[in-house]
Amino acid sequence: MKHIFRNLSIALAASMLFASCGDEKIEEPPLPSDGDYIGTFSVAQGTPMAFTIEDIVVGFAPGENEDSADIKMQKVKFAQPMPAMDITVPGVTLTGADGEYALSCGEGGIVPLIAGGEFPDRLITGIEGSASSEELSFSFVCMGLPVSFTGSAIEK
Amino acid sequence: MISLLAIAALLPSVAPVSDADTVAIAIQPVTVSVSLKASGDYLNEPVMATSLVMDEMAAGRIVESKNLSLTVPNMLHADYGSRMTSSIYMRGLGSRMDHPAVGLYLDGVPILNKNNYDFDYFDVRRIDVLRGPQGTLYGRNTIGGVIDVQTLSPLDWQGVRASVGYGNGNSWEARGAVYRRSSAKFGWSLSASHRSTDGFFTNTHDGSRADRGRTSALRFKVQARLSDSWTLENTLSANLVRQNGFAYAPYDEQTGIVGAINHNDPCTYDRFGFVEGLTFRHEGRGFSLSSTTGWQYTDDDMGLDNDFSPKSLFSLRQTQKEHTFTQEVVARSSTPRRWQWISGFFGFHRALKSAAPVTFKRDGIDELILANANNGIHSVFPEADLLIREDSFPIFSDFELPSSGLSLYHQSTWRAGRWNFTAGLRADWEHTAIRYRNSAEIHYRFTLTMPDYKPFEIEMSDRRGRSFFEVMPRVAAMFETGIGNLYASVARGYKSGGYNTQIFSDILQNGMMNGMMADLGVYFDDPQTYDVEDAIAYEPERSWNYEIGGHLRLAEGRFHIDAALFWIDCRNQQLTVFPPGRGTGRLMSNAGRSRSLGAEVSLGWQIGDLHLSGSYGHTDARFLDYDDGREDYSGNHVPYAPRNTLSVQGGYGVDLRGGRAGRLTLGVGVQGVGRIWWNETNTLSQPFYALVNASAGWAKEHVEVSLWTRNLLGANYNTFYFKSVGRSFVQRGKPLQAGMTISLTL
Repeated sequence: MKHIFRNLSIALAASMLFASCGDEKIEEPPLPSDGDYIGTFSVAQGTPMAFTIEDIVVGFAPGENEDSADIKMQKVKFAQPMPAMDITVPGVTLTGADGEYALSCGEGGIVPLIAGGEFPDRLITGIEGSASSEELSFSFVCMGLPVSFTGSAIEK
Repeated sequence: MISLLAIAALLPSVAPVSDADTVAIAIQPVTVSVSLKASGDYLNEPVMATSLVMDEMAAGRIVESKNLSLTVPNMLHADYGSRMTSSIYMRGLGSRMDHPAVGLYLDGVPILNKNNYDFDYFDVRRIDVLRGPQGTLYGRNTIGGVIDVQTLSPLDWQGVRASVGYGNGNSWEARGAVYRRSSAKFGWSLSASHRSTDGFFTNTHDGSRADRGRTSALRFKVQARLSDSWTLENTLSANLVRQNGFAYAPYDEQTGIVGAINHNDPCTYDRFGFVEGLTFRHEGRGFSLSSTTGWQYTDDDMGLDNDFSPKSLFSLRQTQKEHTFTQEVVARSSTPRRWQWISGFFGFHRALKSAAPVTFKRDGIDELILANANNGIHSVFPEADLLIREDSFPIFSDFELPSSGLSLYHQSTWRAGRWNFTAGLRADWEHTAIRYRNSAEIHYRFTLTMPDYKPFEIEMSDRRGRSFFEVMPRVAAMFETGIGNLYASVARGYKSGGYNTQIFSDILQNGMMNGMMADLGVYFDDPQTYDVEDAIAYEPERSWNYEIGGHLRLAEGRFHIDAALFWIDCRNQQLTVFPPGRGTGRLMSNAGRSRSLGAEVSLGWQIGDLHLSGSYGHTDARFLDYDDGREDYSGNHVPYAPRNTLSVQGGYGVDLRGGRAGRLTLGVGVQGVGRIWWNETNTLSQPFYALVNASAGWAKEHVEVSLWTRNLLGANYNTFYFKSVGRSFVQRGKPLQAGMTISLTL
């Protein structure tokens, strides 16, 4: 009987230990939710057309299923003479792990929303990047130009 | 300088008019005024004034306020195209919009809205034009001077007056009046005036007359002696204006060539207004007391083809309704003592409501709103356009501009031998506010991404208010020489600050374009935007006027000369400026510092039946410190203020057959003005020009016939310049005018 009680105690302790291990896994950094990031927007780095703008605000809005997000780049331009524009890249693919989303898109790219509608001529391809609660960075190609953004979360 | 002058010499009844065979009404220069502030004895005061009595105004055909222009040295009240735009410049100070620089009193009631300044002078017994700031006694917005108009009194004159006249331009005028004194204590008068003209300019777009107009006016006056010490006077003056105005022609800044008037939308100005003034006056022991209560109502309606072109760019309709109440109580010493004093209280309230919808039409939508936007868009999307569905849409603008003010003032004069010393002070408080509601609604489409039009609304509404407090002192010393006097004075001038509504169409237009682009998510570098507070608020204008002068009378008064030198140091001079680019509105700007340096002289000489008179004014008005952020104008002349004014008149009268066949009078005169700079950069100007006037008259018993001309030699000149939508325009001066007037006095 004493042996049985000792074994039950060990089993209970072991189960508590495993339960404890399970709790620690839940406390992993949370995946980012809706938020704005401010940072540097760079175009065509390493080429004669290199162009950089500071203090660009980018909105990151994951969908309900957390498998895709809309990225809204506010008042960005791809060259100095052009007017600044709001560009939304809808349906960027998300893969969540360790409090961070990896950003990507299919080979067909994503048609951005510009000036009130879809803009197929400015197809976005090759999206890569990551989004966490603290930082957002990504890169893509638009009209043959490499574009990147790196920014920090704006405290709400 | 009481120069009972100038035009007096021009026409029939130049000479003193006491003969029985002349019909002019002789009102002596020193007539007791309804207002205690107006002493009427400006010859013996340290001030420069031009005074005209009734027969002189009739002789010089001073039938409206603009006719005073140039008769008074350093004063210009030019024809800016309508009876609404009454911009009076005096000694380099003036105002094109909002607060006037020269105050106007009608039978003791201050006219606060300068839209009402341009009215017909009929049965006016006397006008005094005081030059230089009169703030101590007359308060705000008298920084350039004061015009004091007093109408004929039924206790001064009784009878019936009537006249009819015709001139070129199919110009008609008719006047009639009855003055009755029912008893020694009661008199009343009713007078009416009507004038009409087909004008002198044609709108080539449709062949219509661009300056056709008619005015009607009515005045009812009652005077009563309530007791030995109390009198009452009540005057109700109403006027009606209907005109096609704003006969503006395009102006080539490079060649100076003035094009044809050509606009497709009507330009009109209609006004109904009245001034009701009730004055009680008490003569006490050693003092006089008066209370004047005024009520002014103005209802006017202006329609403008705001681009003044055959294109359908945009039009403006501005309606205003205003009630103004004023109350002034004045006490003054009335016995000749070594110490003379005057004290007073003044209060007012203005309630102005205005609606000024600007309607953008197809050409305006394309050229003023979409062109700039599409230029930017095409730099990124060459194949795309921004479109607006409407062929026309209004930008609604409603304003309420209430203001109120209170003042207390005192002025004392001490006599010490041949010296007189004057010191006065006025404390003036004012609160002004604006409530505005502006809105517009359109439908727009970006062709590349939007299959359908999308509604877009813009609305701006807010209320703002500001208060001002000002102290206006004046000191003067005068020395009596025995044949006149010499004086020196220092006085403070003050013009109120406030809010300008004429830039709201630009604010809304820019807001609409930028708003549409922001709605699209497209942003241009450095878009033209307005900070509303900066755009509509302007600061008070303040000045110090330093002056020396004198009045000289010789040959028992048959020769007189009045002269003054002045220097005005002005801070924050209020200027109407055109917004940069293709703006459609007007901005009120404050120049940092400016100064007016000048001189003026008037003289008159009566030699038997020959009368000669003249006046000359010179003003060098310049910016000392004025940089609007785009350009530094320091050293340039202040625009719109004339550099020289000149009036030379000669008149001769002779009795025919010893008077049995009546009296014949001949007059000739020259009046000139210029140079007038049109812009802050001083690249455009109107050189000095002179107008020759002549007249001939015959009078016998109750009848008078006069023939008159203005601009006899048909001089070409411009009276006004401005820009709209980046284009330049001018108002041409009227050509030769001639006519005949027949008057009957019973």
